[in-house]
Amino acid sequence: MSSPRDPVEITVGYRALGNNALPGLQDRLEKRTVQPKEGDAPPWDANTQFAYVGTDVDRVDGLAKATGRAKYSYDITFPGLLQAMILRSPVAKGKLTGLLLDEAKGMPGIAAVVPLKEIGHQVRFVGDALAAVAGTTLHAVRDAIERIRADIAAEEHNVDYIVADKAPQLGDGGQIDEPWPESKDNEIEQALGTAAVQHTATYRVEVQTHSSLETHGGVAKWNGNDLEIWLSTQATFGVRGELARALQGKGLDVGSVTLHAEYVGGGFGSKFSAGIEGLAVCLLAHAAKAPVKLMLDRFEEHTTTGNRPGALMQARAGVDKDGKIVAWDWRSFGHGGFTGSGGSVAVPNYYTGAAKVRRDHKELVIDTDPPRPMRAPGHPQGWFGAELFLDELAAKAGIDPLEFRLRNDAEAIRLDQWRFGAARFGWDKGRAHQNAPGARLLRGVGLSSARWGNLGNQGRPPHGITCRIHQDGTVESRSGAQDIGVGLKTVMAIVTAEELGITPGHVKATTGHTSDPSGPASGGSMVTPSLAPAVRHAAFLAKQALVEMVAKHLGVPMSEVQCKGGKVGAGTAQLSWADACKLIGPNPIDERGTRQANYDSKPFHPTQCGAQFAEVEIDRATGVVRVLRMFGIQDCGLVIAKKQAESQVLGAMIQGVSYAIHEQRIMDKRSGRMLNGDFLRYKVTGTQDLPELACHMHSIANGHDSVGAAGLGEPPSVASAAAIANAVFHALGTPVRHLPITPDKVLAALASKKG
Amino acid sequence: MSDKIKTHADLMPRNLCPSMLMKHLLTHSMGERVYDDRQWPGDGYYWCARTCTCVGPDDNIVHPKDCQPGRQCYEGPQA
Repeated sequence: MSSPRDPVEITVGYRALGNNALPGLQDRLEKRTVQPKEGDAPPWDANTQFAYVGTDVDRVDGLAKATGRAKYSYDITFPGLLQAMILRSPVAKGKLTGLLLDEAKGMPGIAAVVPLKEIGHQVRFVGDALAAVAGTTLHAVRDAIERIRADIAAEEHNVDYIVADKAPQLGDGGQIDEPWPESKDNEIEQALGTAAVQHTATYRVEVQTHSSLETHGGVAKWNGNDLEIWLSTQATFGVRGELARALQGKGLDVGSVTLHAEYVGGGFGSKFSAGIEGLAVCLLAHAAKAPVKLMLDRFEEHTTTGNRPGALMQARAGVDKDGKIVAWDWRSFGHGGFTGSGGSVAVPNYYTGAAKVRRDHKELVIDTDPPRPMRAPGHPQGWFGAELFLDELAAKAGIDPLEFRLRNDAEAIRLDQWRFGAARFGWDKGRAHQNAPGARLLRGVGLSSARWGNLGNQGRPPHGITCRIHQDGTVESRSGAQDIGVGLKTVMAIVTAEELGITPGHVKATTGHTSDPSGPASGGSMVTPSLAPAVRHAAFLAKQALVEMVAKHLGVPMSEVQCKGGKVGAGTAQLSWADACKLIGPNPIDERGTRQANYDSKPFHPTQCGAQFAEVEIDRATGVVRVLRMFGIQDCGLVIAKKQAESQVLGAMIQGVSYAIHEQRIMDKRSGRMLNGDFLRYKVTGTQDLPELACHMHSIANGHDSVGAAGLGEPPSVASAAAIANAVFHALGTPVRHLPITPDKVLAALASKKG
Repeated sequence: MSDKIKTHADLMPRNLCPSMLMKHLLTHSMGERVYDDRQWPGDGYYWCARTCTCVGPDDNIVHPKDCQPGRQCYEGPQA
């Protein structure tokens, strides 16, 4: 256990966005005293001069991915590898009364058939897993699947949450048509009574699926009682433990499971569990005594691996004569599939600090696959409703939407971001645009805030990283945690290079093998803020070992030796990095860094702020919405890998465009089956639909650990759909309160405006 | 994301002991053991390590309020 050492004074915060060129923007720098643990690297702060951190370093595995050298679980193969599929329920609700597997087992080429549901157990959605089959080819497996007889006593089902038990009554136009319950001491009603302007409206969003390009599944191979598995997962260590417990009847313990996920083709929150497909591939490989591959097809991916749930939301609020929100009443209804859990909706709370606030949420049960976390769970839904409601409220109060945010937003960082972003985007010009009467193409601009909160954690036990410096000058940084595509390897290379004074090209970063030190699951924007300090600590320890050798070799005090610019030495006594590493010998320097707990002192800011702006063009005749351009500004603490960070923000915007105007799960109420479970009919934003995208990474020295990085995966995905919906409101002069904003809804909104 | 991170014990209904939560109950925040200000630990997404699904070995849905002593498949508390 490390012990405290002397406190260190650091500077936290940031220098003015736009270099003081914009009115109202200024340096926000503060002094903090922090106390690093003994042996940890000294903290980076706002005055640290970086060689690579925050610069444009190419993704270190970009070439491997672009050329196909990167091997995903989908790509793993062995001689004699068997293929597998899952038999799934065609019925949305019922009871399994019979499952006859013998005929399938006797089919040519079939090596194993395993049941996945017991007789008498409930069938809960179309796609619920019943049995799995492994064989020499997918054709043989498909034939065998058809020979399994599954008897299901079907029951009445419902896949529409609007008519679920406990769903609210809807009136004309989809508005919730139920009285608001009385608030405690009538305080909301009283606050509304004092408001100069009041407004109420109902909002709705539909289901978006994760649509990871690499579907769920993997390859399993047993060697006696040891299991090796290549799985498309975003939780290498969590899933290893999960599988060990699920397979405990096979004489397996956690240490006997080795899991690989060096490259993962997306997850977005849907790959935390091994899933029934992960368990099934292990059971089949065990039964067949041969390696087995089981990857889901696209229909299974859409219908059985979770989703971002739909929601119904209603708000009523009031503002005073100064445009300040004085009352905020919110109720939402989310659907959790058959579990009735996970349909939560989050709403921004930084606009309503001075208001009387009430929030209520209810979960509804329907007979579909349950939701799974999806990039800022509950937030894009709630921000769409809340930010569009804010624009409607501002319009009623006669206040510009940006000005309305500036009057009500309590977070100083975002106030700077609003001003900077508005200038970069050209808000005033866009807002002043008047669509000519009778014009076919209508333009509008909109904005939305974003927020998340993750400064990383130590892990229990602490997350680790291995750093090795080899005799030939190469450096390894290794983590057993997965990189689901966001750029963890590049972050590891940059942080290690920065600490050792070499280029990122010297560093080979490896992730995703449970034989390496443990790390967190990729969830909640957790990985970079949790692992970057451990990466730095490992490099710091390795550097000290090298410095000791060099100091001895050069005859200089160790305390004066620095690693900088590819050299190691003191004053004029310098060795090149290559020559310094020759002192190491055949056994590499091999250090294990650990993630220390965040400092006890207050960080510069506990959450991450962002803002996005969008411009749309709408064809009045067809109702088609095109997003023309978007600009986002996002804080994630210290920006380490700038290109990858920008890619996160731009990718979130693209996913947001898709959520705002394209993606929608369409269910057949009669059969309970998804009607558009493929990429032909489930429309995802494509290159032809993309707007012009730009972003600014707002790097902040946060001072909460030796690095100061904060989460980035979720926050930019919170704002995009809301900003687009507000732009549509501006263009049409009437809001479309139901995502996705498809042409039929636009035309209905225009017709209703005329009416 | 909540501003206030509370402990598990703060959030549990009084009649349920947090230390008795089933050891095979997994959540999105598994391993992290930090919870927001909703009623239950985690964020509403639960599954069972024995089945790798949202349904336990007893064919009932997995949830902190249900994965408690007395359930047929209960195997003991989390460490």
